[in-house]
Amino acid sequence: MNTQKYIQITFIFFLLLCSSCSDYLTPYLGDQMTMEEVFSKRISTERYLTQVYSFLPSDYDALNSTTPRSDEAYFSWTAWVGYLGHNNGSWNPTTDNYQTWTRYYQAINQATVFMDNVDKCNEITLENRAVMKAEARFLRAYFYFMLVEQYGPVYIWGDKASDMSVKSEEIDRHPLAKCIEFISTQLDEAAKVLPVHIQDPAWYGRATKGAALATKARLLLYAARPLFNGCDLYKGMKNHFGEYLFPQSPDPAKWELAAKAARDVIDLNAYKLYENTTETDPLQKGIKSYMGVYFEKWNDELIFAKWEGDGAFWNVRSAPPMILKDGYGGFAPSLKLVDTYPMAESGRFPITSYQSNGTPVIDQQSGYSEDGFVNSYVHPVDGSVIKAHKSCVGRDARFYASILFNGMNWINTFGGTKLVTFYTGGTSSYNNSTGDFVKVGYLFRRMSDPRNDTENGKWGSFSWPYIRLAEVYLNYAEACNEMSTRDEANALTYLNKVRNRSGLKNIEVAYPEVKGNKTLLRELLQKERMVEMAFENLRYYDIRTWMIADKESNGPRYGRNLLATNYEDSWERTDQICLPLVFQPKHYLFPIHQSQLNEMRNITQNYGWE
Amino acid sequence: MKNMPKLLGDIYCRLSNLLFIMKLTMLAFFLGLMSLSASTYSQRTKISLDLKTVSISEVLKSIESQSEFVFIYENDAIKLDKTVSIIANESSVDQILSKILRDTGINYEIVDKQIIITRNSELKDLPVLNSKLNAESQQPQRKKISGFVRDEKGQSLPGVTVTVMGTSGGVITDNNGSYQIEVKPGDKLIFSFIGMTSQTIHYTNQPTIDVSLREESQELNDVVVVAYGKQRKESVIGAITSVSVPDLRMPVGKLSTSLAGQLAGIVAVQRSGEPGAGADFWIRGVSTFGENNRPLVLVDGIERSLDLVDVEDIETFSILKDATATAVYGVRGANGVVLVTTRKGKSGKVLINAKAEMGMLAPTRMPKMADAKEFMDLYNDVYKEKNNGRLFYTDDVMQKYLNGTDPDLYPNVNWLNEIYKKTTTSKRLNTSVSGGGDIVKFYVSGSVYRENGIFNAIESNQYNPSLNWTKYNFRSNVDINLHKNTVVNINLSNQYDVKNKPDTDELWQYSFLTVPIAIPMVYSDGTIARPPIGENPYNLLNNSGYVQIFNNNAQSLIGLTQDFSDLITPGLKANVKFSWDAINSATISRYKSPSTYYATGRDATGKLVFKKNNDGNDYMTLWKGNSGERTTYLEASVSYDHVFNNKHRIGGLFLFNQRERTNNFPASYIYSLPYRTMGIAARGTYSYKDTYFTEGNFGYNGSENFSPGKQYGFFPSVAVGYLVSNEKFFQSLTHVISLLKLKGSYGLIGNDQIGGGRRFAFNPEMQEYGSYTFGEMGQTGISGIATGYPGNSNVSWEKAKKFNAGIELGLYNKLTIQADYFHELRDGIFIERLSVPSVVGINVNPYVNLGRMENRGIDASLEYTEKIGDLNLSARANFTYNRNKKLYDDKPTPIMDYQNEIGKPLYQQYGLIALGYFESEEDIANSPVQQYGVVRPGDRKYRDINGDMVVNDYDKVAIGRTHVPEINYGAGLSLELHGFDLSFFFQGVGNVTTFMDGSPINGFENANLFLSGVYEDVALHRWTEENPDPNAKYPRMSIYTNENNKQLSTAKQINNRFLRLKNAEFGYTLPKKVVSKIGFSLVRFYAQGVNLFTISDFKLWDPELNNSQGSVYPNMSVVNIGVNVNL
Repeated sequence: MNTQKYIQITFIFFLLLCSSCSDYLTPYLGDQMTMEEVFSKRISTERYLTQVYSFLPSDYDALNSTTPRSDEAYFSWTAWVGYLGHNNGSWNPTTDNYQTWTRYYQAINQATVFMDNVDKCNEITLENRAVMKAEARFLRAYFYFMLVEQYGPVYIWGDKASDMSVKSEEIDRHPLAKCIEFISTQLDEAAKVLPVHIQDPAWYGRATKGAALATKARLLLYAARPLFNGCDLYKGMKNHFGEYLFPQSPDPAKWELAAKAARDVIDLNAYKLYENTTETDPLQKGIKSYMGVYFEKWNDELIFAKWEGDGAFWNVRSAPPMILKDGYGGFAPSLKLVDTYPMAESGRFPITSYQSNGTPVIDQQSGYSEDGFVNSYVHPVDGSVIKAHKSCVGRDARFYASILFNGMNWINTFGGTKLVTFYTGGTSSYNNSTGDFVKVGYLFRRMSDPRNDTENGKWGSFSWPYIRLAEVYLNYAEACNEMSTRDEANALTYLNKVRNRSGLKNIEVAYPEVKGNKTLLRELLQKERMVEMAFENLRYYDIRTWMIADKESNGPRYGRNLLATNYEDSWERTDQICLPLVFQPKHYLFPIHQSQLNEMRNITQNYGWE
Repeated sequence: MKNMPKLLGDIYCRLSNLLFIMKLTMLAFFLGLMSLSASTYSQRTKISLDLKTVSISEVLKSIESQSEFVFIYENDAIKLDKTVSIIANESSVDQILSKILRDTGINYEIVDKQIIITRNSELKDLPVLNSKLNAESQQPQRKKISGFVRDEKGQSLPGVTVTVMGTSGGVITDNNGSYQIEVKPGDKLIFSFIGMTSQTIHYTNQPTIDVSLREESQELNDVVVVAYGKQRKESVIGAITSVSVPDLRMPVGKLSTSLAGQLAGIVAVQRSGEPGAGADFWIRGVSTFGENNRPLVLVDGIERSLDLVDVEDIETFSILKDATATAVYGVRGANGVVLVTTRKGKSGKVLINAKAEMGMLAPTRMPKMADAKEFMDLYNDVYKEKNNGRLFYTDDVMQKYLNGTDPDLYPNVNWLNEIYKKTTTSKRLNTSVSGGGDIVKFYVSGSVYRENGIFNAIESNQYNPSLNWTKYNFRSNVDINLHKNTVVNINLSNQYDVKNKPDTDELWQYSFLTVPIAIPMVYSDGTIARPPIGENPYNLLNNSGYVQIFNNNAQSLIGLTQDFSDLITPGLKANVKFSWDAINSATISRYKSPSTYYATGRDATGKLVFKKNNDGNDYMTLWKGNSGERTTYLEASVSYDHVFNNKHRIGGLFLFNQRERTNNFPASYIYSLPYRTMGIAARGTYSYKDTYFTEGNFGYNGSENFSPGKQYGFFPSVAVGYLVSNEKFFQSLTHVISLLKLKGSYGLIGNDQIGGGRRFAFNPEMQEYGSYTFGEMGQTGISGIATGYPGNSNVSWEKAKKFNAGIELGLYNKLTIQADYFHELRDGIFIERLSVPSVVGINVNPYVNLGRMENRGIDASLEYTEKIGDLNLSARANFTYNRNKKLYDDKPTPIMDYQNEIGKPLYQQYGLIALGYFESEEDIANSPVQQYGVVRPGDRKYRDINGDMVVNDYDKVAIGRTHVPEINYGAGLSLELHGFDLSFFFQGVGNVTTFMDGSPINGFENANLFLSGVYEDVALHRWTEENPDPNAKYPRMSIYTNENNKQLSTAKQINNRFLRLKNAEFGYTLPKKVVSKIGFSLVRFYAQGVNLFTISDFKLWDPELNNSQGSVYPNMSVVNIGVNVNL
């Protein structure tokens, strides 16, 4: 072999060495989705905003809502459900159930990312971009609000994007005043831009000016209530910067702010209470009006609502077991809620208090009785004739719209008339088991439209309200009653608007003594609110912010004696079936979860959870 | 090529043997490539000399010491005492010899590596030379003896030099490996051959001396395979361990399963004995808690799966452990490297080797479950205490189950006995043909291995759910000398394997869980049985369809080596290699789920009343899956090795490589992008007088995993060594301490397989997330987009800082001890940043290079060889200990400091400390409250660690060890006498624990009487009220899950240490005289066993399994017989 060939080989060798191109290791990632691309197109920008919406809670999913943890409900299941530990007081900072901290901070971050980027999208008009940004701003405020109602003061990023390099040991909660101030300012800012009405029906469910203002009304109402307004319990709490986390003394002026915020919603004149226009009988009209709030989609009372396409989740769980093809019989009201519905005739609340053994102290003027039965009672909703316990006779429209009681017929007759009895051996018999058996003697049927053919799998759908006008009226009435410059007239006016819709007479007619009596009106407002807003996830925070949870949500719970093997005896009150509620002062606010304490070593834990 | 006619004759006379016709066809092809070119060794080998006034014989000795040349001459006949002086610098032996032998009347002839010195006109054929030399010998006591020389396989070795110690005379064995030589009593005969260990035999009047030479474990004498090359053994200062390949030859399906205990530094565990299952192994234990803690495996320099190599094809097997040995692999080398080279053909006779083996396999341990009686007694016992003493299975019911009168309604099935066979079989056939001439050398092999499973399935030709695995291997390694300085090598290999099995992964689970009295295997009328809850194991096995998994691998490598010694400078070589591999895998599943029934009773006519469990179907449905990938690799290198002035040995290597792997069935766009690495590596070595050694290595390479501009890393290492026994002052000691070497290394290596479940960790991603519905009728349902993984532009490889210090000690030339201490700090382990506070609100945590871990330990090995009379004895042992420690993992600090994983080994187990059983209610009242449910006497009592008078999760502490053993050792002994050979190899592990758990251990966790199978041991050795034994093995049983007793605790921890006879082999090689008559050069019969017995504390199942219930395919014992023949 000659030298020439060596050189050739050598040449080939170095050719190979040099053949590698310098960007051999740089992958072409061009076709993947990037932030720039997402915010360059209308569709994907809308999808991003949708994602921010997706963090809104599904109140419709009652198991994960506040309802089963409040005194208004007694859900049947006694295993595999998160509310048990919360109700028996055994929960602690490591309990994961109902912790929302991580989720809502993710939501907040996503809202901020959206706000920081939406203006890059030229496919969307300037005005629409402004509206979308305001929606994100509203949502972000709403998420913060939900953190505050659960945890009290929280960490506030303000308008700046969250920073991954933040030193976790430096993070602590900001004072409550700053939280409320920030949220309320943000809601104001959003309200300036958001439209009053969504014009395009295809986009119903998006946030409006009213949604922002009504959220602010609820926020400022809570801020004025005792828990967040200088209560002793949380007074001394400081963050590690030395700032007091809670107001150090009550500030009555906060009620004025709350009243104004509610008034702003009312003054929009964009909403009105839903009322049935076809019925003439006051009770019938009241029932249909109240039912319509949930059954008439997107009615004028709704301020902010969410579409729930499949009603089965809710309706199956509020349907009685055994007599229906699908009935899990779990969503049940507490006996206390049932007791609270006013009497139609007198307009008065039947029970003023309970003795220590659970015996109700009955307001004799109310016309309520627990003794005996009416043998051929005509149920006002379906007209069927039943043997009704006296406690179920003569109640207000909302009672009949809401309560499925022992001894009545199932609300729809697509499968024929079906008597529902809950006693042991009844058609929907009680059973001491963890499973699908009614424990308290009632089911909550308010969200179940009798027009749904549930026997054939038609479960309907919902425009499920987050906020509706009746609440704003009650917020306004409450604030007016509490203001230092008490506005009793408006308090009564707006309370009565709510009562009248259900066919009840004015409160000052039913209770003439309420005039000039701030305390009595407060008490009546609280009862009215419990009834009107039942199962709408307000009661849990109401009794906390009013600081009455230690009385209302503590001790044995009573139900009807379903251990009885006959109908009549099953109407006795008993605490032998229902599990008691445990409430300790620390339960006014959620604990910061242990994993948050681990990651942010200096964050201040709530009172009683340290 | 003087041997050619004879060789062809050999071939033709064997053509009649049909068995080998196919092999010979291939052979003929390769023979066609052969040429008769002259030897090239003498031209390639360069010798430097600087000798003044020395005798010729000293010059010859000096040449011998520098090269592989052997001089053959008769001392008395040739005067080699003439004084000469010579200075030669890189001259060929021809040049030197012609210079010094000029005018001496002495001639020489170079025959490959042998140089025959004769007086003028005495040049002749070798056998003649011998006889002439002998004839001229005048010493009367001299005697002519003869013998055979063969290799350890019994193949005759031509060309072996046989010399008498102290003389320069010698002979060379002929084509049949036979020789004749004259000796006198007291002479020592030295048998030496390239690539073989020389042997010295004392002549004591025996008429014949037959010798078998052992192959050096390395290709060449005293050469060690190192990264991208070879080094002389004495120059090696990195931590490298090799294993003698015959030690790896065990009757198992995959190579990885025979590694445990074989090499110092290997940690290997076999977690399943299923046919086709391999073993997990690490080098020096687990050094990272990142994604990839497995060593890099290189087969012929190409990254390939170890288990694809047929052990018969392996030439060398070594592991590289420390920084200096692995630094050149840069980002790929942090977890150590396994280097395997496959066999090459050798010049000389064509060798046909065939091996046939048959094996019988049986589980090392098969668990034993409670039988029907034990089960019913147990259940009655736990039932009656809840039911006022009432029994669940009354006597008459129990009798019905036990006497078998109505097996439909009262079945009694021992599921483990019915579903699994006691033994199964395997067989192997392996053939290879190798040989070659000066132009072409070849090694061609093929093998078939078949292993059957222990599933007791009903087979038919149409439907076969039995478990078996068949593997075919083919390899062809060919080296072609294009020119005396240019070699092309082509290695082609193909592996093809098929596994057949029933279409279920639940067989083990349900055969353990299903109680003996749940259901019959099948109802007597043929109805398919299944309990209302759970499965019928018989049904799973025979009626769920079957799966065939097919794998095909094609591996190809072409290399070109150019020696530039002549052209540029001596010792300079260049190499280019390119490989292209493809893997294909196809899974064809034909499955069905027929209707199943449960008999609830009998009707009036006595017919069984069935409840249908499910509406099934009897037809088969197809499911198929494919996977595959292809890899190309290019490597180009130049290397240099040269000695200056006999003192300064300088070596160097510079190398470039790039690799591309492409997934043929990517799951998404990102995964369709090729996986690439590219880099350069370099090595420089220097030694002075072969006593002081230094070495520097570096790798500079990168991977596409990292952000542009940050893809490359520099990984340097340095090492020093001191061969004390080569010092002059040490020479007086060398008869005792024949070798003493000290060495140390330090360096940085990387690991680019960082994981985190994403391809390009630097790249921020968006993700589909959430949805929301708008619209008056919900008509606007939109799925959301969110930010995803945030991207980390600083993402980088893991860095390993490795330190190694070692000693090599040889005693009396018989005992060699090697010991190394190692310490490694792994930095930048890629971990999820869990410490980003939740208020930041990122929805996918970033990954960062923050994790840190430490690993340290020792590994040591010992080898001993001895010859006592005709008995050859060799022994070996090795030991590996390592302990790792997590230093940082970015997890929040737990409340209880002792639960912090930092500072503890990776995989550290945690649990409660069991204090026996509660003796009485009083005992319970006086003990801390145990928050795992109400306790009763007989329940486990635990220690309250933090003293809060409550036992809960805060009292769980580090207990026991990890499931990866910290101590690994092996020891073996081989004996060889008169054709018999016997060897044992023991393997053991220590510092290893696991937990037992689950319903078969805890009892009645499934709250039904179908899936409540329990271990017999548990049923018989538990605490009962009748026998409240404080030392009972198991606590009180409960009718439902007993949360308290179920807690992981010291009482449920298994000490998995064991010592087992991993391999034993007994063989007999027929005498050469016998086999040569029937045309063979070797016939050896042997019997071999694997896992013949195991000594362990834990008895319920094989201690090497890592399963809390032992309900996996057990490890297997194998007994094998085989025959090995050479033609």
